Amino acid sequence: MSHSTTPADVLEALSVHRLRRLVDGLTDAAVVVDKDLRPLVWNAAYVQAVGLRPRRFQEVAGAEGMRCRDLLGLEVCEKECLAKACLKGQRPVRMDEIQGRSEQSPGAEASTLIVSAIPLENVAGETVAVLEVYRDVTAEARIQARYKVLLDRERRRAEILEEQVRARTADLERSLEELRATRAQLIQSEKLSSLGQLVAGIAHEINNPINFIYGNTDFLQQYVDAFLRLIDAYDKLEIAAEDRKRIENVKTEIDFSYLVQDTRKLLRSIRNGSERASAIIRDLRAFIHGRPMERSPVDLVKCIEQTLNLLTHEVRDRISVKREGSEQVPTVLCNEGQINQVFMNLLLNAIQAIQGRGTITIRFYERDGGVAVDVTDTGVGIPDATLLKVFDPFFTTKPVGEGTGLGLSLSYSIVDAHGGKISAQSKVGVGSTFTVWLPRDVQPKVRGAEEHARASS
Amino acid sequence: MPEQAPEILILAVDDEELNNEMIERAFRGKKNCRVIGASSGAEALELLAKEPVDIMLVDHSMPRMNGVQFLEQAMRIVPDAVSVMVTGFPELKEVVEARHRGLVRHLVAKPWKTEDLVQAVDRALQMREMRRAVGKLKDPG
Repeated sequence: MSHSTTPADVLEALSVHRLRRLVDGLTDAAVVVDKDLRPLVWNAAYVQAVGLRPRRFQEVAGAEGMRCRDLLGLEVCEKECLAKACLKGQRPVRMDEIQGRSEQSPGAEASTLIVSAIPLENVAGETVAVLEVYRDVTAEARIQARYKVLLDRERRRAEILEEQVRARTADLERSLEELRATRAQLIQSEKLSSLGQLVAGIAHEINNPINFIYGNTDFLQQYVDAFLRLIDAYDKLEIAAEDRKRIENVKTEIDFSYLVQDTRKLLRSIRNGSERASAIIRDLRAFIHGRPMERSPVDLVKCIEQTLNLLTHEVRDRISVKREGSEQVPTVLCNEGQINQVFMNLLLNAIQAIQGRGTITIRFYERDGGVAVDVTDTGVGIPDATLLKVFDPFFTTKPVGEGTGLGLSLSYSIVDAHGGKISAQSKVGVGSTFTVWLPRDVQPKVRGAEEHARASS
Repeated sequence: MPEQAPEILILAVDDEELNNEMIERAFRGKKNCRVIGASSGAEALELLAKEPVDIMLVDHSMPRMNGVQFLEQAMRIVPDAVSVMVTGFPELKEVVEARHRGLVRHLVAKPWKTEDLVQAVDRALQMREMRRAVGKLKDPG
């Protein structure tokens, strides 16, 4: 310290003293450098960060041309010097997450620093030096990194869990769907079996009365003809005029000629009614009994084509028929006549569902060890409530006399007797799809006949 | 009186007597045919003991004794008679089996057409004639 001191010297000495006190007071490594980055003031933490003993540090730091970056060189010093940025901008500069040096203890964890550069001004307001503060945040960074790892792991675990939940939900939904389908099938076959018994009972009960009407009509016709012949013979007799007049009076009174005509009409309508009733009974018989079934390998594509040929008249140019997947369809062991009947029912329904122009698409595909056939129409569609009933016996939406309501339930029992499945999907205004699935090879299911034997005995 | 062809006696067995009446009607006027009716298997068995029945037209679904059960007993009494089953349900397992056993020779579906019934009886008689002829060839005298 000099003996001759100017007030400026004193002030400066005071400032330097205060600056030293300030830097010493910082727990973080800190150094004050001049415009040429020469270290002027530093604290113990800085010395420690540089990694030299205090005395040795003194020597090194005091050397000619020594800069802060030579003492505590960081990667960032090469790329952008914070002190220079601070001098240039005349304002504090701060940079986070700076990699510290690690060459002193190789293998050790690299330290993480927050470096700040604060401009220091003289009395005239000029920036003459920079205070560099190196805060070591390695521990915090380590905790943060650890936290991040944990968070990531937690997030991954949650994702896996979510994925599992999604998969399980999908599984459950699938099972539920299968259960629903099985339940629908069960309800349907239960309905059919109890209805089958009911129908068998009714069919049996009304069979005899229909027989009386149906069979006796012929006799009645014969008898009426005989009476008329007799009357005719009487009319041709030569009788007294007044007798003739008496007979004519009776004829007028009873409107004889009308009665003769109308009796013929009556007989025709009785015959027509009883014939229709017997036809229904015949259908019912087919419905109740799985007829003795002869099975052979059947080409379903050929079946459909044959059935379509019979329907050419109905289809004409109003409906275009598309086939999909019909190139290679394996044969199915089934009763060809019965399966033809099923396709006939499905195709007829499809045709009737299409008002005006439309398309019927027949799609063949293999599934679950069998062959499935979709018959899709672009028809009016079936409302959900109706869709539940389409396989019920006697359910029909067709006008009286046009359908017995047995077509689809008959199809259902035929497919069921083959160990197959039939199902329907529909959307009003879009169309319907009926799917028949038949196993490629199956043991015939014996039912119906025995059930009826039980029901009728 | 000139010599007549032997009378064909037809036994109709149905618990619905109106059906038996119809069978009588169907064969009325057919020469040499006479129809007798029974409304149960038991009653029919009694008749069989008394009358030389040629043809039996039997309903299957009858209470107590059904058609097949009746025929099992009847064929022991009149083994040469021809059995025709008249039923609304010819697909019944019991009926199908009875056909296989030869217990039921012919089937007529109910409701029937009169002409089908008459034809079935004609065929049944022809078959019987043929069987008899074959029998004679096999065992002359």
